[in-house]
Amino acid sequence: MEQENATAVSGAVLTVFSTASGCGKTMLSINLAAAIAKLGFSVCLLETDTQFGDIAYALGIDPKENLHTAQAAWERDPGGFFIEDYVARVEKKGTVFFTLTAPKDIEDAYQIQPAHVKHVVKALRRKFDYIVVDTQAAFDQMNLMCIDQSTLVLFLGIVDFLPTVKNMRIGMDTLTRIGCDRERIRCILNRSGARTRLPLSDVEGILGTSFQTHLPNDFKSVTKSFETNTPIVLSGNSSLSLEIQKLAKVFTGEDFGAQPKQEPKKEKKGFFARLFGK
Amino acid sequence: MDFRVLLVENNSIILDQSVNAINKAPGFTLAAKYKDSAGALGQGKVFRPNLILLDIDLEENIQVIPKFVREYPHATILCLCTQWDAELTARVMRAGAAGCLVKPFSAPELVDAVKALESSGQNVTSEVITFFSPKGKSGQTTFVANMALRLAAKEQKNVAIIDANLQFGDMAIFFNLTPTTTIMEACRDVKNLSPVSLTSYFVPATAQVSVLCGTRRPEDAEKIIPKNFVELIGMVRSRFPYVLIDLSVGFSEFTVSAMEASDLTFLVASEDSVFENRHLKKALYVFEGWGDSLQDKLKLVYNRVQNTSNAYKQQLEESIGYPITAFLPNEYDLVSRAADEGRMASDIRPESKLSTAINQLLRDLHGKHQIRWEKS
Repeated sequence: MEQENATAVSGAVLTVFSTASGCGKTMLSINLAAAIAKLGFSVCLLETDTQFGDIAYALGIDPKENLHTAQAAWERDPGGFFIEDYVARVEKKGTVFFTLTAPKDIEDAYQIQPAHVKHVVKALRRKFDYIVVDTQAAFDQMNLMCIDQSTLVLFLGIVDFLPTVKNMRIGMDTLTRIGCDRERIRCILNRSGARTRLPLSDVEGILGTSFQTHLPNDFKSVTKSFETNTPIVLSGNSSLSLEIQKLAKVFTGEDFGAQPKQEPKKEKKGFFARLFGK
Repeated sequence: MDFRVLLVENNSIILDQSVNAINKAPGFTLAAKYKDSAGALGQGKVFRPNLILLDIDLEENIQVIPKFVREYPHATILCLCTQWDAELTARVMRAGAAGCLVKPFSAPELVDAVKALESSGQNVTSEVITFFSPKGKSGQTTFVANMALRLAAKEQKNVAIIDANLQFGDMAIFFNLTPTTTIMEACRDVKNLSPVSLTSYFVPATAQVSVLCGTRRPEDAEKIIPKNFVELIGMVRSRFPYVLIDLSVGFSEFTVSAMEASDLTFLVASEDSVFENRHLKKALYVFEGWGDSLQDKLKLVYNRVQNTSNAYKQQLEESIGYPITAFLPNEYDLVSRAADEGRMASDIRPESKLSTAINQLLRDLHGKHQIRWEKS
């Protein structure tokens, strides 16, 4: 079996999580990985949305190895397993980071076992300063494992309509129930400023916490960056790019940004009263 | 209409209990009772029953259902069984019975069972439709809710919605419902339920649309056994002419077995995702396993489309390699307001572009797709 080396530095795991798909997890994961790499740290971007992950598409790569082959190698010979052989090198505009993506085929995705992937994550932690995890929007075994391994859970939300907010609240409650303390959760609002009828203060009241970071709505640039396979943080200083670079600095700095204590708002009116009681 | 009941029950205790229940049920009179079918077939006619309750714990009684159908062409045959069983129900229905009732039954259960048969027109044929999206955030729940409303209005029949988006089901919030029971309890209890008692797990959303709501907590999803869910689908089928199932994202034992138990699957995609066509291609590769009947069983619906022109549709079809059955327009404001306020039923007006598109879809499907319960 692999050796747990007590003196080895263990890399930080930043898991990007949400309770709805289409919130921008892949956008944030890729850009955060690129921004941290740009600061000079070694980074691996791990994809655990095994069936319909988009990282390879978004980066325009076709890696030979993937999470499935890495798992299989670990299963064959845990002692002889070298994670270096399974991550793909990505170089964009002079910035280099690594990625371990989901398999191309759904048949292979079916073979992936969270209990085994856990060892792959451990191997990544021994090799990289930071592991950014792009997940699927669900509380499945894979995500429970990732959350358990995480230094921080970046809970990404958007405020479009009420069902999404309900699911974010359920997500926060569930994270608490499964033992992920609030101290390990960072709430990030994506598409800030996008069209909605729901006041942000009401949404934060429901969540019982405020969003520490607001990522501006920049749908066009995001679409373009996916189409050109270039992370936003490496192509100019738009406000979205700057916000994510700021996040990268917070996560790599000494100060992990102590969370302000936010009391849940007592008054709940309008849309929310019928959801969460008066 | 008053029911003159002919009762055939082999078990003496249950026979007495049943007689009791029939006498207590308003509008029901016991015309005759028998311990075996031979007597009922021979002498029962003189009592001119219009409802036959037939004990099918005895295999021989199942065998003679066609005889009852011939002897009593104007009577409805309702079978009595100790435990509800989808396969058995399918079998007796193929033989000519209207459905099954679990015994021993109470007077209200009998009344409900008969009411259920009447509201479904006694011609119990049903269509189960699953809705699946590979990656999610496709507007699938909106599509399901609107389709249920339009279907109920058009066909004047009852429609069941099952919110099977196991972790983050939104149907209750769309219709502003407060469920006391959910899909989790229904699947847990299915072995001890009958189509009639199952109805209490549904919450009415409108006069004709009922919803089996999603789980309260994501953890509840783990407690749902796919096999039980398939059994549940069979049971709901016998009670509602249309059953619409809003599924979780991705391929899992649960979503795959639900799709296989359905007559038709809508694959719902949205233009919001940059890589949606790639997700679709990947998903379609898996669906190829359905073989020759694929295009009959799987219909692709593209949602939130900005450009609804035919030229663009053809371009997308070529790129995906699969025919697109419907293009649904982007009605973000209308849909999100309705969901925010829990007024899906009243806010999505029949004249909206989305409703028009769904009506068109129903017209297109009508007649072309008639896979029915008895044939399956």
